[in-house]
Amino acid sequence: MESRRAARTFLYVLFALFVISTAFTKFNPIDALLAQGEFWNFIFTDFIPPRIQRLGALFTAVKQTLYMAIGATGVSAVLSLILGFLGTPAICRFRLVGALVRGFASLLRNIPVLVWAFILVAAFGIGTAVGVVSLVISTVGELTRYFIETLDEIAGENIEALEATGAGMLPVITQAIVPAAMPSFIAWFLYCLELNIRASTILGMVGAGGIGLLMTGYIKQYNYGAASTAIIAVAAIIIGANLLTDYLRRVIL
Amino acid sequence: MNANNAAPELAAEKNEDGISLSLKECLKAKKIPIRDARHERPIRVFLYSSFILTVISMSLLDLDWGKLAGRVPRLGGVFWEMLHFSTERFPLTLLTLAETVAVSILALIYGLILGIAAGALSASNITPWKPLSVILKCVYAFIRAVPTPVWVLLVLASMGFGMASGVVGLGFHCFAFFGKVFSQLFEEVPEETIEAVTATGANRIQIFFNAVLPASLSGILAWTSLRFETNYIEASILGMVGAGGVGYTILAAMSSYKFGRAGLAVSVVFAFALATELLTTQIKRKVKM
Repeated sequence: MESRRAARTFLYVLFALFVISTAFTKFNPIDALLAQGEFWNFIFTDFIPPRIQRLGALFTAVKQTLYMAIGATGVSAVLSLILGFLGTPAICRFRLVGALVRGFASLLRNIPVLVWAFILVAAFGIGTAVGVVSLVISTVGELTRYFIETLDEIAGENIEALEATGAGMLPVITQAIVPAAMPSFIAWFLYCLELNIRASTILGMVGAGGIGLLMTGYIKQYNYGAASTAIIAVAAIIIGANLLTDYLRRVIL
Repeated sequence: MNANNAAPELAAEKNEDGISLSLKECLKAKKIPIRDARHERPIRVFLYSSFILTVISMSLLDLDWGKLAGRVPRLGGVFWEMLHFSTERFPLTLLTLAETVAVSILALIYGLILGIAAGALSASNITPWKPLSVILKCVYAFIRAVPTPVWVLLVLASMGFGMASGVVGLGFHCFAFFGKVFSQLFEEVPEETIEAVTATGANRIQIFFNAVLPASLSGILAWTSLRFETNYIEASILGMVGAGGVGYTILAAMSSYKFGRAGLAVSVVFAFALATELLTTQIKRKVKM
């Protein structure tokens, strides 16, 4: 009964939002449907076959994208670990510090990564560094949130029990909390690695280097054949990353 | 009486279990088994190798850290200017934010409808044709592997600039996401539930609406609210590739050095994102996902 009522409210809310948004944007689904023909025609005539051109540049861009994603995820994991401990109320007793850390993390993750990249471009100019730093900013926001959630779940009663045995804070953290939290830390790390590989492919669109830069360049030059090769490379990177993280999850967790 | 007889049998079964035996050995050696080398080694290998990979990647990127550090004061300056909110063209910012929200809602709803239908066709337990399930799952993987802004760029090139392109491009991605997630959700519905409804003589469509859909409702609700968060973030950056919305306002303000205006727009984007995050957390807690 409860769930049926929840479902009905959900449907009503969705329907109301749908009507308002349609009225506001004047979006006509029939138009979109009719445009599908043109869209697929465009894809099939202009994008296929993919033209392989400047393979060296493509390869360099792919490598750069991967370095950006891996480097940024690794650095953010270390930073988030520190922030995570500071932000968990059960571990860090200074309430103010915890609140500040959580607010900071929320600020970092709720501003889209491309907006961060834009702000950084204004200060640092265009370049790979901007891509790495903006990835680090948004990943620290995400990972800190998840690390705090994990630590909060584990810490609660465990700390009290272990401290009752006379163990100091440091041994409790290194011997009990970290080993218990490690599997979920790794799971979140892998999740963020996937997100960052995705994000690093589009960061190029605002000039932060990597495969995104190459692809946007090709599309702007109407060189759709070469753009198609770049898009396929992006898809291959992401599918490869998915398979790899799935495999790692199975082996480690 | 029966319960009493069953208990020793269970205990005997447990004794034959490998884990219990090793526990016994440990206890014999007066050690409590805390460390499990077999389980710990992969974790350690993973940690070391990801550390090494991070160091290698950062050094291969060949960033000029000195130059970067030298420009940090300039970043401070940009932030400082952005914090001096300017309400110039603020109504336009709000209007474009409303556009962004409307685009993400429409993409969500069209994606949801198509995704439920596609999920039903591709869930391996209720699919009308097994190969269709495999084909559809490959399609989802490919659509999801190409980032949303790229789809929007492609739609823009054929449908022209405007919000409609945003809805189509974002909705496309949304459809693949829901298709994948819902097919997994439908596959988790217990076989017995489906069998029970089949036994009443229900046809495929009745089975779906009376057994599968009600059983996965809370999951659908949770994933929809989660996806709304993602959609909003994605929609807010679409302006940067030319699909309108608040992203374009930020882009235009930043590139004409109106940092105060951009700062206010970014804070509005942030405030709305924070509100959706809080809402999602509430919904997730309620449906206990």
